[in-house]
Amino acid sequence: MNDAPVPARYYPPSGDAHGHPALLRWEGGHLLVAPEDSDQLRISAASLRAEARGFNHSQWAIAWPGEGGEHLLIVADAAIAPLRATAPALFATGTHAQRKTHRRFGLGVTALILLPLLLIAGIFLAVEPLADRVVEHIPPSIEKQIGEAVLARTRLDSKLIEQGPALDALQLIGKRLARPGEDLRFYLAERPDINAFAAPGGVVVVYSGLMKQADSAEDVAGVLAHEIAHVELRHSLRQIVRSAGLRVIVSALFGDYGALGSWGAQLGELKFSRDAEREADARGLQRLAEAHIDPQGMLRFFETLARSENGAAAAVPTVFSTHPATAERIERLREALASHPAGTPQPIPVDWQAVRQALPDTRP
Amino acid sequence: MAMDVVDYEIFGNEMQYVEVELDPGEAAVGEAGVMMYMQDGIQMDTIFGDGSAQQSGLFGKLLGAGKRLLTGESLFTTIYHNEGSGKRRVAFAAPYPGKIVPVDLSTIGGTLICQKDSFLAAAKGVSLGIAFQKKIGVGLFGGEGFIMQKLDGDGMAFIHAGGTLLEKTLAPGETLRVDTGCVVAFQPSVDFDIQYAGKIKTALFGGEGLFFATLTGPGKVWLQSLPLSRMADRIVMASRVVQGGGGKESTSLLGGIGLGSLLGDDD
Ligand SMILES: [Zn+2]
Repeated sequence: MNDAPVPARYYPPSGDAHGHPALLRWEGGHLLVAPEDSDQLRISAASLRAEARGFNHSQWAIAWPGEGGEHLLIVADAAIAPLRATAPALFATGTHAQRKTHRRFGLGVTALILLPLLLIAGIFLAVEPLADRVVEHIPPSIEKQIGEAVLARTRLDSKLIEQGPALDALQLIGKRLARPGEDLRFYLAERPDINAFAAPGGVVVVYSGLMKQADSAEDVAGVLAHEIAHVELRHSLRQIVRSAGLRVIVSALFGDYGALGSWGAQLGELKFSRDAEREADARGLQRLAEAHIDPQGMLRFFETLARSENGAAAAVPTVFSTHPATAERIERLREALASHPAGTPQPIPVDWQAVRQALPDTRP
Repeated sequence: MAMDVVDYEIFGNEMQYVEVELDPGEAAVGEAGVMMYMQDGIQMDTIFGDGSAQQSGLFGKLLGAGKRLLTGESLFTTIYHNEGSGKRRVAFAAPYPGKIVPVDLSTIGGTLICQKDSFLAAAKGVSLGIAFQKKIGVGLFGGEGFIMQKLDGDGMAFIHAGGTLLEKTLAPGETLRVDTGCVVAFQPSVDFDIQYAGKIKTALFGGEGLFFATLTGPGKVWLQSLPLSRMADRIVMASRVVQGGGGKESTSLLGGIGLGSLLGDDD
């Protein structure tokens, strides 16, 4: 038996709100209540009720009915142990309530912490499917706008070659590549980089460096067929939307495609997945076949570039920095060419040596 | 009981400060930035935690630090101790108009729950804990009622109430409904709950929150007529009016870059 008295505050039924300090202890099935300033009370345990209450259930309210109403004792949880040890049943419900409070709070806090994390994770997971959905719904007029934006950006960055044998050659290649009714526009930018890209809306930009480096018109046609395939398959749009991120996606979902246009300006730097490259290769070969252009050019150009890449590390970006010509990819191209011999190609009638000489010397 | 005549003295009417007298070797803990002056012989010390016995173990200290970090409070408290040979005084000032409430923890059962902004100073040994109201409803809707400060010990503590102070002792079962911001402190035996105001219309057009706090006795509560947040709101509102619309707004979230900016800038 623990007979150290427990400090409490006693509120008699008709008393004032302040209560009175009191000491409590058990005595043979009765609770002895000794208020500081009044007579001791002796209450049968059977008539007592106890519940946890107050701030975070940190207090106990022990009550019993009296003549003028209910008597009440308030005991701090920290002091309750001796009373509870003798009559655990009296405090069982309150103890349960206390545990529930703590457990609920723990769960609540965990949820509050986890919820934003889950939300963020969900958004990240949803970006790609969302991007794809946005891409599905982009109308041709927006593609045109993006194309115009890319062109405007290119004009800012570099001089466009407006005439001469190189441009004529490019237009000739372009005319061969375009399908009937297809609106493809080809531009030649004066830049040393071995680069070319196609933008949504049918804008194709070729850098003079690429034409200077290529061995034949068929080589250039091969690269362009591949680039156009990326646009056809909407790879470029998807990459733009994905890399532009949520903000652009959200505005696009609400019909504002303006932000997409500015991201389109980075088209030359877009990287595609390995699957996308394979798809674009296949689709490009198909286009070459339709145009009766010798598909060996595509393979040849990639092989040439792969070699020069390995040799002197080019200081300027090339199509290969964004469309890496892996050995695997070249191998697959070679197989495709072997298994589908492309009828009898009609050569592109261009004096390639003249084209190369007409272009400014790009190698520093 | 005629022991020490003066342990503390409160000066001023609407902008008060409390002067605490320390015997040699005695110390007081003050919230950062409330000290007003101290006499020669009083040493100021910044310690990790609050210097109470409850936070003596390493784990206790870390737990206390974690809670304080979480609630945006300073990890350190400042202790003022009397290193002189006679009685010395240190004064703490209220941060804004209101009343300083002296609470003798030993007369109210040893524990006081108060709003965390309202604590000013206490005798050394009083533990300054952070106590979350363990009701998620309070956390979500109670705003100021969620993170409270728990003062434990048997010494004096000084808290500050904004505006006019209402000190009320609730009888068992007596209930008071208050704006959560107006609660300065209460005894732990008081039940604190958050209630839905019930009428959206009241919430939208009445200017006050959708929720209010219900305090149920027995126990003592201290209410303030002017919560700092309410005053801050008014000041911010007034300064906006003075500036005439607050000047240039930033561009909208979605309308940032378009074709125009594309043509205008160059990476
Ligand atoms: Zn590619």
